[in-house]
Amino acid sequence: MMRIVLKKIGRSLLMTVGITLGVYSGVASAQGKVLKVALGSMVASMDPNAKTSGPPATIVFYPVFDTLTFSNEKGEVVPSVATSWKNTSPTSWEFQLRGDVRFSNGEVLDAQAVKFTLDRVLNPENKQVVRARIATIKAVTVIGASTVRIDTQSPDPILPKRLSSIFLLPPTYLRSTGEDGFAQKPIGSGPFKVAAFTPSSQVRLEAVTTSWRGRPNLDGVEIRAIPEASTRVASLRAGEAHIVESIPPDLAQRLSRERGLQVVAETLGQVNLILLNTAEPALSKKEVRQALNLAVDKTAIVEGIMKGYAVPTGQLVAPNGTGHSSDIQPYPYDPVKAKAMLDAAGVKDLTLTLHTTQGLQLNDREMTEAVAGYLNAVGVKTQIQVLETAAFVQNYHGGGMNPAFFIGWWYFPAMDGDFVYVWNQSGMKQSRFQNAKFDDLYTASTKEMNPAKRLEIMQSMARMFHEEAPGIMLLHPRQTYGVRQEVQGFVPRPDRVIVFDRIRFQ
Amino acid sequence: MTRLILRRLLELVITLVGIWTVLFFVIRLSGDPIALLMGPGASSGQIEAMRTDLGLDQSLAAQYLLELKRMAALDFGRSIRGGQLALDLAWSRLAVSLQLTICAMLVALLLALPVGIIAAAWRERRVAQLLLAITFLGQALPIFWTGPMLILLLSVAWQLLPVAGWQTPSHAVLPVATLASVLLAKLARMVRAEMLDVLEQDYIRTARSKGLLRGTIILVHGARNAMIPVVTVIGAEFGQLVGAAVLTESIFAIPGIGDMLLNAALARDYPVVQAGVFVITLVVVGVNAAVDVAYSFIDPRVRHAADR
Repeated sequence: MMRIVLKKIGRSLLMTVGITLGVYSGVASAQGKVLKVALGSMVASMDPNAKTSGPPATIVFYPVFDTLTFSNEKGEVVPSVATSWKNTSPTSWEFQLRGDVRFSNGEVLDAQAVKFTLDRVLNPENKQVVRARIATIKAVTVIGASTVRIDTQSPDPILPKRLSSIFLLPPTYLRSTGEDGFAQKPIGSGPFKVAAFTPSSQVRLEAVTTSWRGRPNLDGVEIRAIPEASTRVASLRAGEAHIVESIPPDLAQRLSRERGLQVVAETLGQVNLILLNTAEPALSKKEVRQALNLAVDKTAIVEGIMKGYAVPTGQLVAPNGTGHSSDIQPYPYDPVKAKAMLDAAGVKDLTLTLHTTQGLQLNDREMTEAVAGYLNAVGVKTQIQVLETAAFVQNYHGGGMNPAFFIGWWYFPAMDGDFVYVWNQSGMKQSRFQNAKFDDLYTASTKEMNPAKRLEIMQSMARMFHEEAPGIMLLHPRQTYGVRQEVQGFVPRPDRVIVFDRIRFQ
Repeated sequence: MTRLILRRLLELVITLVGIWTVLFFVIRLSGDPIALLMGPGASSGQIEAMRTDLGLDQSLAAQYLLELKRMAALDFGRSIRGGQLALDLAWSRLAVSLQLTICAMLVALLLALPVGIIAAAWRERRVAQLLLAITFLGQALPIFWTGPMLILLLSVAWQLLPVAGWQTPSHAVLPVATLASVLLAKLARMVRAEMLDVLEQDYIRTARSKGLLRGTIILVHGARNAMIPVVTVIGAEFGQLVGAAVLTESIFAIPGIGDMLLNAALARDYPVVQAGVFVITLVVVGVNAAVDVAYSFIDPRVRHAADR
C-alpha cells in the first residue's frame, strides 16, 4: 500500500519537474531564437558595395551593416547613421552623424569611416558595382568627428536617397585584413554579425548586443537560398523556415488557408511593361501605341496570372515611390476602341514580335503570352521570342529585341522614379523612346532641389509617359511572403528588405 | 600494370585540355557577363572599364593562350560575381556533391544487385517481374517530380525528414533516394541481363551437377561473374549521375558543385564555370580510370592481357 502511494507521489513529482523544465526551456528558447529565412537566391560575397547590389543583397546586408540614410516602409528617406542633413549650396551637403555607432569589433563609426567607405566605392580602380549609384559625388570631406561634407558634380536632389544603398565599413579593420580577409570575415555596425557564410548558398547571423540599433529579440538569423519554389514552400509548411520569400501566386491562395501560416504581400517599387520601340515605323504614332494599351485587359492579367498579387498601372511609379501621380489611371480595357484607333491610324497587317525572358521576373513569359493574345484579338499578329537571361540583358543594353519586349524596372532601394525614367532618355542605349520634351523634363528633374517642385516635374513626366505610351504598361507586382504564425513584427516592404531588428517569436 | 596507369593519366590530361578548350569557346561566344554583373545602373563606360580590367577585351586567341597557361598553373582566376578564387570555390563545393553522388551510386547498386539477381534467377515468378517494373518507374519518373513528391509526402505531410539542405545525415535521405531512383533501373536491368547470360554458362551447369545449393550457385558462381561488366558501367554512369545531381541539388537546395556550376553558367561567371568543369572532369575521368584499374584486378583475364 505504502509502495503504491510512494510510487504515485514519485510519479507526479517527476511529472511536475518534467513539465516545469519543459516550460522553462520553452520560455527560454522562445525569448531568443533563431529565425530561419528562405529566399530564392543568395549573394556570392558578403562584401557589400563591392560585388552585388539589389535583393537579396540588401536583405542580407541590412542586418549586418548600416547606411547613412534609410528608406521606411512607405518609401520615404529617413535618418539612420546620419541624423540630419542640409544643403549649404545646391552642390554641397552637410551630414550630421550619430556619436554612438560602433562596429561589432569596437571600432568607431565616425566621419572618417564614412569618407573611407565612400572614397572606396567612388575609386574607379576598385570596380565596385554600386559606384554607379553615387557617381554624382565629386568629393567627400571630413569636417569634424561627426560631420561630413559631400560635394556633388552638379545639383543632385536625391543624394540622401542614393546614400541609403551604401553600406558603411570599418577602415582600420579593412586595412588590416585586406580585401580578401574582409570578404571572408566581414564586420559591420548593425545588430547582427556574420557567423558563417557559404557563397551563393546561405549565411548565418548572430545577434550583437552593442549596436546603436538596439539588441534584437532574436538570437540569430539563418538566411538560405532555396531556388526551387516548391521546396521553399515545403520548407515553410514543414516548419523549417519561418519566413519564405516569393511564393508562386497560385500556391499563395492555398497556402493562406493552411493553419499555422499566413501569406502577406506588399507592392514592390517595380513596374512591368512591354516596351515598344518608337523608332519602328509601325509604332511611331502615339495613337497606335495607345491603342495597344487599350487592347490589353490588365485587370484580367492581375487576377488570372498574378492571382491578385499585383496592381494594374498606367505609369511607371507606384504610390510607394516619388514621381507617382494619383490622377493617372491605367488604360481601360476597350478592344473595340483599340481596333477603331488602329484602323484610323491606317494600321493594316501589323505583326509584332514580343521578346521576353522566362523566369527572370515572376510570370514574365505568361504575361507576355497574355498580351500577345489580347493583341491578336484586335487584329495585330504576334510572335513570342523567349530569350535566356544573359542574352536578354545583352540585347537590352545593346538596343536589340525590336520592336517590343517585356521588361521589369525597379526603383528601390532609393524608391525614386528617377531610376526608371532614366532608361527612357534619348541618349541612353537602352532607350526605345526619343522625345525631346521628355528629355528636358528629365534633365530638369535631376537638377531641381526643391522637393515639391521636383515632384511636379516628375508628375508631368508621368503624364507624358502615359500619354505618349512608349510601352504597354501592365502592373506593379506585389511580393509575397509566407510567414509562420509564431513570427511577429515582420513587415513586408516595397524594397524587399526584411528588417530583423524588431522581429520576434510569439 | 604501370603502363596502364600511365596511359590512363595521359588520357586524363588530354581529356581535361580538350574539354576545357571546348568550354572556353562555347562560353565566351554565348554572352557577356559584365552587363549582367554591373546591373542596370552602370553606364557603357563603366562596363567597358570592367571588361578591360578582367581581360575580356582581348582577342579570343590571346585570351585562350593566356588561360591555358593559367590552367597549367591551376590558376582559374576569381569569381566575377563574388571575387573568391574560382578553384577554391569549386573544391569547397565538391565534397558535398561527391557525398551525394557516391551515396546515390552505392544505394542504387545495393538495391540493383538483389533486384537484378532475383529478376534473373526467378524470372518466371510474378514477384520478380513486379520488382523490376517498380525500378523502371524510378527511371521513368523525372527527378523534378520524384524529388518534390518525396518532399511533400515525407517532409511536409509525415514530418519524418527535413526538406532542404545538407546539414545532417537525415538531410541526405531524400536527395540520395531521388538521385538513386534514376540509376536503379538501369543497373538492375544490367545485372539481370548479365545474370541471365551467366546462368546459361557451362560452369553453372557443372556447379549444379556437383550438387551445390541453388543459392550458392547463384551468388558465388553466378553473381560474381555477372558483376564484372556492371563494375565497368559504374564509371560511365557516374558521369551521368554527376549531371543528374545538378537537378537534385537545385531541388533540395544542396550547396554542391552542380548548383554552383548552374548559377555560374547563368550569370556567365567564366572563371567559376571553368574551374567547376575542370574539377568535375577530374573526378569523372579519375573515377573511370580507377574503375578500369580495379576491373583489371577483378578479372584475371584482363590483367594478363594488359601485361602482355
